[in-house]
Amino acid sequence: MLNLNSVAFSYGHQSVLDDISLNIETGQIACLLGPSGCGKSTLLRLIAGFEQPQNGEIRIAAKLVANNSHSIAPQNRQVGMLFQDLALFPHLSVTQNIAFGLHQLSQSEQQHRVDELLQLCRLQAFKSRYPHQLSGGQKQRVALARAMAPKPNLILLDEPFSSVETGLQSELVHEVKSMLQADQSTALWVTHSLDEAFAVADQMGVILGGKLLQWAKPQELYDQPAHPDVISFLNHANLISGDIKQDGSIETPLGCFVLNNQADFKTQDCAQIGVQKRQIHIHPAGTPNATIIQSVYQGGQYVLTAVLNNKDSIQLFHPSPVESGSQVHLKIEHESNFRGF
Amino acid sequence: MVWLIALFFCLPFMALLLQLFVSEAAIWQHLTTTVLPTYLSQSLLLLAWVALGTLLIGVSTAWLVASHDFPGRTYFQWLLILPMAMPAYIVAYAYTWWLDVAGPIQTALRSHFDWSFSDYYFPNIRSFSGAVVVLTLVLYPYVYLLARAAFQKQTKTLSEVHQLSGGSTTSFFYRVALPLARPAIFGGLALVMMETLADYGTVQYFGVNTLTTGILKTWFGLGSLSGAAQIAMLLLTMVILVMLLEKVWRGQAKYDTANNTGTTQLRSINSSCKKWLASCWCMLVVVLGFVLPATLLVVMAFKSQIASWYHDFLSVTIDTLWLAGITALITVGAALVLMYVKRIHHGTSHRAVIQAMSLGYAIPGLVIAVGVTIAFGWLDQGFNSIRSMFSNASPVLFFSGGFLALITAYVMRFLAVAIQPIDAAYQSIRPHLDEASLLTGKNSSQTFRQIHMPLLKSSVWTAMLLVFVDLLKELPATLVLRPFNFNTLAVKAYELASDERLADAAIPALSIVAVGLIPVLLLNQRINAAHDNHA
Repeated sequence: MLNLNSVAFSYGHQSVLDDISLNIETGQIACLLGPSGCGKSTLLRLIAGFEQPQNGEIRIAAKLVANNSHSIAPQNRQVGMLFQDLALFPHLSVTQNIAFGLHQLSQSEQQHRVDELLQLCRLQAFKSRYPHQLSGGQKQRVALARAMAPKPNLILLDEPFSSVETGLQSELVHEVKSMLQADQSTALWVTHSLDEAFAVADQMGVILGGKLLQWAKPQELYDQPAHPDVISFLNHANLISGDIKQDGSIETPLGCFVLNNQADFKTQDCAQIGVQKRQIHIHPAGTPNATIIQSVYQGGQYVLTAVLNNKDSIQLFHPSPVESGSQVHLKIEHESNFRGF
Repeated sequence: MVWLIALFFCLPFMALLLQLFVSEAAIWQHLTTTVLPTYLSQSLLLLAWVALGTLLIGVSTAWLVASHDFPGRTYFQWLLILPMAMPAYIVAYAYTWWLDVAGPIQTALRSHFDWSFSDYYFPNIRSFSGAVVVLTLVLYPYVYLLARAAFQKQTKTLSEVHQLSGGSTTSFFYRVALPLARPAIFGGLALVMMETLADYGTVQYFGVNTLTTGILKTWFGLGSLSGAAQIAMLLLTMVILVMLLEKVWRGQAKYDTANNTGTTQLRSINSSCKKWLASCWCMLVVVLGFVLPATLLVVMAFKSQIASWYHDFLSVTIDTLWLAGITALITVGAALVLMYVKRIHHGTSHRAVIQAMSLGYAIPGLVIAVGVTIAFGWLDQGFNSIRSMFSNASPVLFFSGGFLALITAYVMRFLAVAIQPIDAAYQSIRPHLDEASLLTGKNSSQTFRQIHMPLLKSSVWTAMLLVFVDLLKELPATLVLRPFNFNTLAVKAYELASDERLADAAIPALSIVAVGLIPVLLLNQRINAAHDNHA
């Protein structure tokens, strides 16, 4: 449904997005994850047509909507958008806001579609209220209903929950996801929250510094991060460095491991692997290969920070605190092939 | 469109500039050796005295009202801005009627003490000092309003810090409050100075020879438009100097007030004597600036022979309303176009042009009038020479003879007044609303009609009202540019006053004041609302 091919954009000399390629299938909800200022909102503005890429091309429903020489106006792209500040029209009621984009339909069709959305978004009771009379969550639903109303090819969501209290967010995330699914919408959802992204995404990507580092299924992104910065951003794994041996495996303080991208390295190269925190355990027997320097209680278990023999600092989970300075033997369980960086 | 409006704007100024080069050297020489030094020195002196007076009254009342508790404080807060509704020349008429030789005061004195005209001394209101007093009384609200807002923005923590370090209220005022409010006070003072330079009605009536009266004397007395243009350029230079001066005064003093959301705590005045002194001072200012002249106007109106010119008054009123309505429509229309362009174009050149056009309000009406007359005179010459190629008809004053010149001058002068509320309203409409509308498939004209217009509506009405009222008060440009036999209320009042029919002048004057009160009260309401939101 949405197809981006090597899209690049810059403000003056400042490159904002560089070589972005991704693909979203019809009916999928895709998530772009990244810290603020990484260019993800700009990407949405390129797709919506408020900015034009300097390079690459954007296709929506197989139709070329923008490249460096040609750009279809936003109003002709059939894209809906849920803005960060919601952008509800303050002078229009809930019904009028939702019906705003339905001008091509007949009166009765408009009525029908509005009723459908009021029901889907549980807004019937508030349909004649004005935006200032609604709660944060209600406004959110109205904004979503307005974006979905004309049945656009694609709905863009720009940090949709940034203005909602934290407590409400997780509830709303599922609500919005189910509304999008019920209407069989295709959506590209931009957020900086890991929880939000993993809760909704069929497909997801991490953008850092204007580059799309990985575009994959959520589980793949989690289990097989393709870039060390993805690991740092997700903060679910440790980077452990080691040297490449002659047989192509990597030798680290926690043992030797086979790399699934051996061909990328030469013997004696220095490389890193990503090991999830939950994969590392303290083994009661064995020669010490690490020193514990900190134990912090966090949600039912302790997060231990340890320094390896090669000075790499890593984290792992443990049921009980361990005294600082203790020498321990750490072991990686459920070994699989690692990707070297 | 923007460039078209901009070109229209530039024309009179280009005309003024060009006039400098084609001018008759003899006239300029005559002016510089005879009257010009007087014009210039009187203007400068007037400027200095009025600046001093407005500073004194404006800052003192603002400081009292903003941070002290005394009887009547809440009323004085808005009573003190009422003089804004009074054009200075109207206050001048009222006081002259009261204090002149033939006025009720001197007549009563003479009959009581059995004096004759030369037996006693009485200050002459129709003098330089009279002009200073009248202009000060009418213009101090600019300083008062901006200073009050600045004082009210200062948090109470500032004064608490000062108290903890053992300072007195007086030293707090001089060491903290006043320096912090300085940028705002100078902003108000700059407005006062521009209004003083632009004033024609008061100085003319009181026989003070300033640059504005000089322009008209040279133009109609000497019959030299180019001489008038030269003086106008001099006046314009002074206005620009005032604007630059304001920038310099403000300097880097853009103090951070973003976090000062706390409300000021009112100081209680311990001595009841001082409390009443504060009330009396505010009361005196309000009475002299508004209550007394307004009462005098009412008394004068009762003494007028309105019956004899009732029809005349009615037709002048209708003419004025009609002209003000049309002008308000055109000005607000132009302001809307400009602000719309500013919203959709992010280019700096557009912004700079629009910024430049908002400066029109600083330019004296007479300067604009001279520029428009010259420019439109040229247009007429061109028009007639082309026309004479095709027919033998006698030349007509198509551009300069009718309402076109007058309305052009008004639009130039009042565009800034219309731009301000519309710009503010546009800035409060978040840009995402436009984008949300575009994404639903509406084009930009639909977005303008369905999103912008409903949200701008109240500001558009405010802008119309402001232009309407300003036009009612405007005197010098109207006086010069009005078509033959056409009068506004302001011009009518001026003519009657010049004919020594002061009592009759009171009726058009009162109408102007009554309408002028509306935006002043509106302004007050808005300030209070903003202040409440802030607190």
